[in-house]
Amino acid sequence: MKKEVSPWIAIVGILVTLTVVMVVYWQGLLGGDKLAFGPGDNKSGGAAGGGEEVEQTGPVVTTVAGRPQQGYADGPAAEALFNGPSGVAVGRDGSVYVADSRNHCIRKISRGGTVSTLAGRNVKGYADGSSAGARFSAPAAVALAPDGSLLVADTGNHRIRRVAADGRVTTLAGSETPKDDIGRPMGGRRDGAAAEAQFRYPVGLAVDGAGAIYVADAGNHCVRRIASGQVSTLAVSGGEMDSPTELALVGDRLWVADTGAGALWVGPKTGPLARRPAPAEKKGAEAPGALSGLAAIGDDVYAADSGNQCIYEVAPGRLSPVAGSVGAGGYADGRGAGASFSSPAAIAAGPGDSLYVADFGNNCIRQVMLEEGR
Amino acid sequence: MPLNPVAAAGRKNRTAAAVIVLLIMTGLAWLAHRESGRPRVLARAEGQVTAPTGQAGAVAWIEKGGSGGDRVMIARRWRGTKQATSGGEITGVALSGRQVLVARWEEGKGGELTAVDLGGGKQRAIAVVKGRTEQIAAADGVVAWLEERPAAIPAAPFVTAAGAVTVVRSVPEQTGQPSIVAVLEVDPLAGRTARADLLGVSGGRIYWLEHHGRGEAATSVIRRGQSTGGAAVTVVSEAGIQEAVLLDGSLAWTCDSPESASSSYARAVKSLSLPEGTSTPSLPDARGRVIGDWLRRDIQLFGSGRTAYVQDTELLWRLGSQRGEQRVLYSGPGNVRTAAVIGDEEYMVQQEGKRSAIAERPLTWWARVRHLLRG
Repeated sequence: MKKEVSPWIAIVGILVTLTVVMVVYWQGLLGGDKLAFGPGDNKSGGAAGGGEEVEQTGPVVTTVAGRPQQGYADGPAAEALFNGPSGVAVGRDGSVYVADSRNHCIRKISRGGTVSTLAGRNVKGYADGSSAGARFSAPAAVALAPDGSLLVADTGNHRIRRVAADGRVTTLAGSETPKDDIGRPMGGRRDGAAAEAQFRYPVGLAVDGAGAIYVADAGNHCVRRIASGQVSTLAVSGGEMDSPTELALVGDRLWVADTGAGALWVGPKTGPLARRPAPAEKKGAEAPGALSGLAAIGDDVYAADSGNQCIYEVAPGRLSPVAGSVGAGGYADGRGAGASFSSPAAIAAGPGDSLYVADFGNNCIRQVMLEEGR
Repeated sequence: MPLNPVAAAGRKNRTAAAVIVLLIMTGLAWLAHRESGRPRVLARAEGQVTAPTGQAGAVAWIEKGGSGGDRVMIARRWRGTKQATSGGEITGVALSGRQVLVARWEEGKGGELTAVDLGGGKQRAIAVVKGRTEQIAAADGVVAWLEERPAAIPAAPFVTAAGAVTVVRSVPEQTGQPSIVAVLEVDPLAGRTARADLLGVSGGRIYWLEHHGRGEAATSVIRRGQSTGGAAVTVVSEAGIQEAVLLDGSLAWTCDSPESASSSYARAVKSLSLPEGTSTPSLPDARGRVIGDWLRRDIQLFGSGRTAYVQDTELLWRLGSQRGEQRVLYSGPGNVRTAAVIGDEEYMVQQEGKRSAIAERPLTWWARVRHLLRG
């Protein structure tokens, strides 16, 4: 037998149901996204993952030129394109010089923020001559000489080149070496007169006040010195270098970043160089990934780590991260660990307690303002 | 008109014969239909079996990690399966006519490319290889391969002058000096040694797929070079190419679906007839035509003869020469995936612990009949 329901009971039932649904909705009990937040979560935009917002501290990292896109374009810094910048140097006037390795040329960033090609063009080769006529092969490092000229580690040609202020290029050291079966010069190892000497993948440079040049000869696993037109090899003690890639002079002492061994070598600038104990062996120290860049500001030494994607301050027995999130590569400007790099290959000291970084993987030049983090 | 008894008997015999033939054909068709989805195990092996390669009627593969070391196995139609060669680390294999081409590699010493006669097992060195070789192709009397040369300073990938390269090389199949077809720079931060796939040889030209850049900036191009060297030519340049195959007279490649609103949602397959001789450095109008669309993101592309095939986790499709001609050949759980399509057979490799099995499955009615007759 069918029993009729009073319309009043039905209306009240519907209203109660609607009220319950609205209460549930307003309490945020519907919808998976809202359930993901717990009490105390910062809903106004915290750190990724829904955690608490952490205010980043430390040096400020900005992009000076280029952007995370490979290419070759001169012009205003924000529109310029690089392809694998792997060396950087800063002139007395604040101009920044870049070894643009995969574009096979040397770029200049003026103080006004304009990028131009100082020497070579986007063509691989070997030729001395005018700015436009000179050719390089994957140059990996640049350094300024006391006379104002720019020295270039022309890695693929296994030579050290000099670029005058007007862009004219000459060969300072190194000579022709046999080619392998696919036409690549193999490099060699020979000390003696600069014009006859041979290198194998020179990738780092430093110059002292007297004009002596120090070369990280990665393929020969050693450091070479060019002085008075002669090339010699610095002695080492306590082992053998693996792949030295960058150098820095701190007073009369030479520091060497050995990327292959994840170690630093330090000693008098005429040698012998001794291997420093690996910081990772000491309690509380950071373990280096692949130390690739070195720079000194006064007596303070900084290192770029292309493996750990960060910039360290090097203290006795310890590496302290100053910029970049250790182990997490990427592209982000910001403060301290809030910034990120992608295989920072080289660093150079700039004016006002700053570091310039050749951010190889991001194809741009970054600046770390250390004083703003202190 | 009276019926001639001899003629009547002949007609009866012919009718009976026709009925018998019809019955046999119907039986075969029914059996072939029943056979359609059954893979036939060609061989079981200790260790790992690589993706098979070959030509219609003959298939070769490498068995690695067995107790007797690496060996090359070959299965020929009606002739069963046998070992072609063994010994050393075998890294690459290809079939060309009555020869199997084998790449061997020894760390620190280099390697060589040899041709092994299928009949007598005679071996002949055809080239010294200075880099590890995993991809070989041969056709029209030309053998081509990719050699991977590692970085000279592996700890410092930013030293691009010392970076890894992939070398495209070739040599005449009978006798002659190897040539360098192209030297491809490997993206130093790509985290992968080989950034190229050898597609094959056609008309004396070697075709390969190059990958450049990473992430959203990644691009791929299909290029070709003369077996005797000289400048390589870009044949296809398109974002999103993941795989490509060289077919008889055409190329096919996977790309983002042109019809999907979101490029990350669906894949398509395009085809382009092989352009004839040109000395131009690129063929910018070579866009290709869509022959398959609205396919899943995780498809794998295969090619055999003039036909392209794709497989996703559930389906194996045969693509036609136009959009809309794609047809499902098999569907089912994707626990055993296609490793190759050679001739009119699909080949599958299954790893079970330390053992492997390789099986073939017919893709045409004639292939099914063949399977039946071979038992």
